[in-house]
Amino acid sequence: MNPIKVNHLKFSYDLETDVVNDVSFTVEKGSYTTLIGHNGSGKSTIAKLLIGLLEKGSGEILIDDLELTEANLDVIRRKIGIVFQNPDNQFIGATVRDDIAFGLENHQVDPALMDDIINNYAARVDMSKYLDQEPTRLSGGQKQRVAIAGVLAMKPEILILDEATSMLDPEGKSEINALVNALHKEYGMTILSITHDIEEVKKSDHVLIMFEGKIVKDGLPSEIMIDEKEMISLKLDAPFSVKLANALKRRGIVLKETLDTERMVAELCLLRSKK
Amino acid sequence: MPIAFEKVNFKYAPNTPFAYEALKNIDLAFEMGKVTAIIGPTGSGKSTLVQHLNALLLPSEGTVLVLDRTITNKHKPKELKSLRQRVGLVFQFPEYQLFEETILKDIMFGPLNFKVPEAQAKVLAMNALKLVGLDESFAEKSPLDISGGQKRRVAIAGILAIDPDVLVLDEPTAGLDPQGSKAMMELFLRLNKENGKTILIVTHDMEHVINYCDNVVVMKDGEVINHQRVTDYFERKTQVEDIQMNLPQLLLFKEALLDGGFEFKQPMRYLEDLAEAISKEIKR
Amino acid sequence: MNNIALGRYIPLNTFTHKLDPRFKILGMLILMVSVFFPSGFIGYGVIAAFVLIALLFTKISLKMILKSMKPMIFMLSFLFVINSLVIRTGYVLFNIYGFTLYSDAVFQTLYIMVRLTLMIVITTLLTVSTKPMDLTLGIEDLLSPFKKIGLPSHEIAMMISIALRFIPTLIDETNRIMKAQASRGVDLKEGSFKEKIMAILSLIVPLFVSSFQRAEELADAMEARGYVVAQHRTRYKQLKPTYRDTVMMGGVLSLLGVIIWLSL
Repeated sequence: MNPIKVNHLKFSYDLETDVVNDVSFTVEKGSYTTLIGHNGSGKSTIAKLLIGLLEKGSGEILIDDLELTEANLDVIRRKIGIVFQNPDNQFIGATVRDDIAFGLENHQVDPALMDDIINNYAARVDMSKYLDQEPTRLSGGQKQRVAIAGVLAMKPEILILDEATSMLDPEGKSEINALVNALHKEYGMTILSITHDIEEVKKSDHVLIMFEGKIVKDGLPSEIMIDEKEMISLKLDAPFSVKLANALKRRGIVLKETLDTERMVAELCLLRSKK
Repeated sequence: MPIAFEKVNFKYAPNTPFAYEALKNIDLAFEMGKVTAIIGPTGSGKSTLVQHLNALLLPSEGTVLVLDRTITNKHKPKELKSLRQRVGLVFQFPEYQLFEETILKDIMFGPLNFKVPEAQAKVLAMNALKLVGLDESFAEKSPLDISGGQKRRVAIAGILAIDPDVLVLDEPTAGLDPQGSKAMMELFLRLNKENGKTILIVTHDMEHVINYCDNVVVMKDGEVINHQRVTDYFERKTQVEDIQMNLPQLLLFKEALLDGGFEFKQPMRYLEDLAEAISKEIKR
Repeated sequence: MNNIALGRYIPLNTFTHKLDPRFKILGMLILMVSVFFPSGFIGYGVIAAFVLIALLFTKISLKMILKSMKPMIFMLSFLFVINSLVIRTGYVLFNIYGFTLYSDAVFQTLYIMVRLTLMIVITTLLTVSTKPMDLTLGIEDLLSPFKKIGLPSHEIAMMISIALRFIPTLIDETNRIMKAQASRGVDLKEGSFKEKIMAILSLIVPLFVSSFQRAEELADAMEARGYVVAQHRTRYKQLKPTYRDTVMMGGVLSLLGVIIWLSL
């Protein structure tokens, strides 16, 4: 059973150009999958299709082997939580407490149980101190942590991050990355992260690359990210380590490892001591 | 003609319970004709600092010298407007300032506000459009019908058309994809090298600082804690670690190699510098 | 920011703050009604005394109220001038250079002043002591009986609360756009009429564009978290009346009784 399986998915906003053009991919259970691609390649559209915010043109979306249709939208949305890009535009409640409660209210949770759930997940994202704060007094990173708590409170099996860190400062970015990694490990959550962060991609289990509406690469980061020329031709950037390895290659130094920085350093130090 | 801060303090909402000192005793002179990065954690006063440069904010105490103008709390420069003609400020997410029916009209909006005759404004606008890498076919399109990256270019063109000597940019690459931000940084570098503009960039991205900037101003809690050449600043990681920012990949890699026994003497800035130094060490 | 705006919520922990918002709103409405009864100056004296006690219970100083009513002085003086010129009944107070001031002009102005002041203070009592969110909850509950005739009370409350939530965000956004356009030479103070129109457009159009985008993203976020319009939801915040509400309602109703008796 795969948490997400997409077959020949097509979508168009204007019925002329396909923003998503015959896309098929699978996200494996418990994996940390990254989806990358240039701006306008159709990544965010995929996210919206997966949670039924947009209606597909043709093809098939299966969540836990259950086909996404109008009728079972509600069931499927309970399985998927999503964190969007702009921290401001997804904070609905007047305070942190009210915002986490929002999803619970929608799912008709008994109000008597809510306080425990809210306290529990606020603690999980380290926001217990801020429960009665208004969003204007929180940093971007804190707002995204609240968004994650709101999602967790609904106990989804899949977490989609739609460029959730792209509007944050470096501090907020690393907070969110650390939190998501911990959730991935602790709860065994399946994670699909749409991102521009090459370092995040390097660490992921699986990477999907989109280019002009199509999935053009699908595999392990260690297989895909190492081709500098190809990455550039897909309007992406290669990791620093790959670019350095290539620069060294031009100088006659060929390394076995070109993605993992630590191993590269070890290899270089060995080469140096041999001389 | 300098851009300098002399003993500048700035307080938001003075004499209220919300009073907040955003700038503390700033003494700073930017090097003209260079690209300077202004970095520091969120809330360190970077945006407040740059808003003083075209008198959107006036210092609570102290003096700001901008080109031939003096700005203090007591006497504002006589013509704020003409100051703004010489210092162009591009805010974060500038695409949200577009409002005209066509891109050409939107870019002409600035020059026209500064009383440039219409025909000349049009020439300036078309030049600016070319400068930011968009061709003439964009002129008659609506600024709302183009992609996010293009909108940002149009917004920057709207400031360039005013032809300022100094261009100040507040996180100009936020939200762009890697190639989009690279192209943007290359644009600023070109404006500096070919058009002689002094460029100040507020940024969180250390890769941009090391790759494209000449100098770096580091802010923390409303104070300038460091101001030096980029190559010197990135010599060792210790001083960069003072502020919560990611180290540039190059520095991380270099430090790891130094810990592993490598010895680098020469300063390095670009990837090629590091590759060259490594190969020298290994082949020595 | 210099003086605290009239009616802005002040976080305190007083008797009035602890009242159930539903009863607070009802109490305010009853007080308003009593202000409209023609109970004469004795009646207004009684109401004023009641309101003063309420102020005491809410720990709001009279000074703050008076300070925040300053902007009204201009309006009231204007009213007084108009009244003195128009109203020519009652007895003559004095006569200078052919201008006669009649007693009714003074009384009429005083009358309006007292009513207006009372109404403002009563509303302030409510808004100062109630969080905007609790106010919407109160309104939602008070409107819920009208659900049967098709009034979407929950949706109305949701709309109000989202509007309240986004006001600070939109103020920030407006400031940012104003500064951005100022950098492009926009000057709201000077310039011809046409230039001013353009200046205002350069502010409003971007504000609309970004607000629409915000609204769209917010709608997506709400839907993704399981919000469906007109579908039943539970409510986290439950309102519970206490003995305080009984005391307050008792007081307010007795006041209304006295006022009606005085107006007979």
